[in-house]
Amino acid sequence: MKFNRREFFKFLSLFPITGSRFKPNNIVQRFGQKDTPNVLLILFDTFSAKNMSLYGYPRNTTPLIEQLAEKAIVYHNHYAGGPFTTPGTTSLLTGMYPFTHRAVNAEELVYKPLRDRNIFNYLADDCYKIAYTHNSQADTVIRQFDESITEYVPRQELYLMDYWVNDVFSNDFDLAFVSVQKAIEDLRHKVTNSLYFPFIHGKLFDIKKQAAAAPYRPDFPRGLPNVSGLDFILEDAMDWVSAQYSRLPHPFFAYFHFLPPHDPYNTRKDFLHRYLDDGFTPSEKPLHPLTYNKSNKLLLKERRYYDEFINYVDAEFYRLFSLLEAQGALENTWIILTSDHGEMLERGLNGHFGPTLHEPVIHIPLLIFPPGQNERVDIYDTTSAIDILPTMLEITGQSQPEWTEGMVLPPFSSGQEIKRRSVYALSARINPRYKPFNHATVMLIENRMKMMYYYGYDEFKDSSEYIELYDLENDPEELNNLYHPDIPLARQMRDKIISRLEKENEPYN
Amino acid sequence: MFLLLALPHHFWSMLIALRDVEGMARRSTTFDAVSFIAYVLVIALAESIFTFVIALLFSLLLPRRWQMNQRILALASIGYVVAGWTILNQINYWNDYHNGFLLNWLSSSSHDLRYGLMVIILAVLLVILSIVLPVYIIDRFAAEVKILDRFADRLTILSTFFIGIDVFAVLLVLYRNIR
Repeated sequence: MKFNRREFFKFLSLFPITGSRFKPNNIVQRFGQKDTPNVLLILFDTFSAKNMSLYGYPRNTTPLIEQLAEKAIVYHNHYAGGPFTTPGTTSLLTGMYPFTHRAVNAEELVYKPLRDRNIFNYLADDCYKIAYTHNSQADTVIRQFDESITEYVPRQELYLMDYWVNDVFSNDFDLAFVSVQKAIEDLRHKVTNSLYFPFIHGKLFDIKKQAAAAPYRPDFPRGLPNVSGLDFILEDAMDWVSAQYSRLPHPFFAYFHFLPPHDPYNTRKDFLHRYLDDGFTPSEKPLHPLTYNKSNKLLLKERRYYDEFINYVDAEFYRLFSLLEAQGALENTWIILTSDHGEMLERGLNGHFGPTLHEPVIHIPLLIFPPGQNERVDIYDTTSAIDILPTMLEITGQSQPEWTEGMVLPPFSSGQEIKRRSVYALSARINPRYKPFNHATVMLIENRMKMMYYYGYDEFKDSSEYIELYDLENDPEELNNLYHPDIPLARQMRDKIISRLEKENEPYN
Repeated sequence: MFLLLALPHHFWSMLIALRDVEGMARRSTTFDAVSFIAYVLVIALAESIFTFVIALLFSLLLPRRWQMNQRILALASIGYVVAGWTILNQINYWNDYHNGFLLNWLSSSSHDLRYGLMVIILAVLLVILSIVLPVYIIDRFAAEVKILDRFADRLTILSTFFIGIDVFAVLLVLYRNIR
């Protein structure tokens, strides 16, 4: 048989490069039963403390959490590390500020040499460590700590629809899901790898999705809660958490990260229109220089929807708490309720992708329910998400690593150092990850004085920086910008931020 | 014919995948990034098979007097033209996912609705003409058919390379899903 040149090339091309070595991921270890208490950390995404009646919001959004707070330690001035999921969740799980962990862009990972610094790795080996999230960004954050997690529950476990990608690629759901999304259903850009499948898939997906959602639709007139079009029901998630208590070996540490009240604010019908025409009007705030120019009308409507969604979360968390209580879980389990960041619905900005670090987007709830706690304890010190890791190590009897930037929270520590501390947060979404921060917003809080330092934004043509300074004690709504370069405190705080940035940037220069 | 029809799908798939692969490698592992390409290629292969089946069905409509190479060229030409328009449609939405370039341009211009409708009708006529014209050429001009035939033969070499990589991609996807 003779080959001509062209046929030879065709034949040759059937043998692509091979020989790659693939190493399967690690395995699951099982741990025995112990008397050590469990820790259950429930995180509701995008849960702003400023919109919770627990913390003084005029709308009665969290009446049931207020009831539960009678058995909890309530932290009134708790702050996220960053204004969206990646930096916020990473700071919580690593005990490091975004300056250090560098997961500052969406879907970004912790700086590799620091990746073993995470809560899963530092809790005792005999503790069963389980994690779940609805959120794809949080999924990326948690997945990098895979080796330290005993059981990582796939996201699709609590999605409503049996998505075909899960059926076909059940062992490799996450990558298959991302690939299929980009290839045939990239709804955001409408630019897909595939030419014709998006049309066909879109239609079939819609038909199946509508069928799966049909039984629930009457209960969710605004649509079902969903992640990129994949519906889920918060009730299922809460029931599932409750079931984990009896299923898991004890002691366990569970990190469960649920999407509500993140947008879309698709609340259940019981909570719909609860705040419609309720007479509440939030304080009028000036447009921010980096505004999206969202109209006040739109922001008020979104705020109402958001508040109604929070009210739904409040009811479901209360139901979960009752389910756990009925199982006796409160006797041997610490329950922590918190968030990764808040939501901004003022100053012409909406969502949490803006450059600002105002209270609504960075002030988050924190409640700790110690086993057997029967009274409410209120903590007013300024605390941060980076304190969760050292506090958890403290309450589970582990030693403190020297690298953590957080502090053990009062009342588990004397609280003296906490009172003197500075709390930071960082927004550097479009700054290259391992480059010096030259396009960012830094927040610094000291003695209830809060500075936001913006620099590198093109919008400020006349100056490389823009600064806001608020007295949170007397102006919690951040209405009166006190900044003036001649004020000694303002100069001192600005210098502190700049010197911190210089220090943090040094290794990346 | 399959090789010819597979080419635009693989070409576009790879082009778009290369846009994402760097970010994928940064966020995850190199293995995941390579696997992402594999998934994309498997989808391109499936789409090529789908297009091939449609083309086979479509071939029933072609004149019986046509030679085999005329049939292949006509179907491949239609496949390329339709793929080309689909790619242009996607580029139309590039970085503008609300209405696309054309509708945005029409809405921002001072022209009235009648002008907009005329532009859209002209665009539809252009698409129809672009499909009919190659078929007409293949039916009427033998010399041009020979040139197209030789060109198509060269394209199949490139396509065969893609199909070869597809085999690797299928194996990789299988590996990830059965391990």
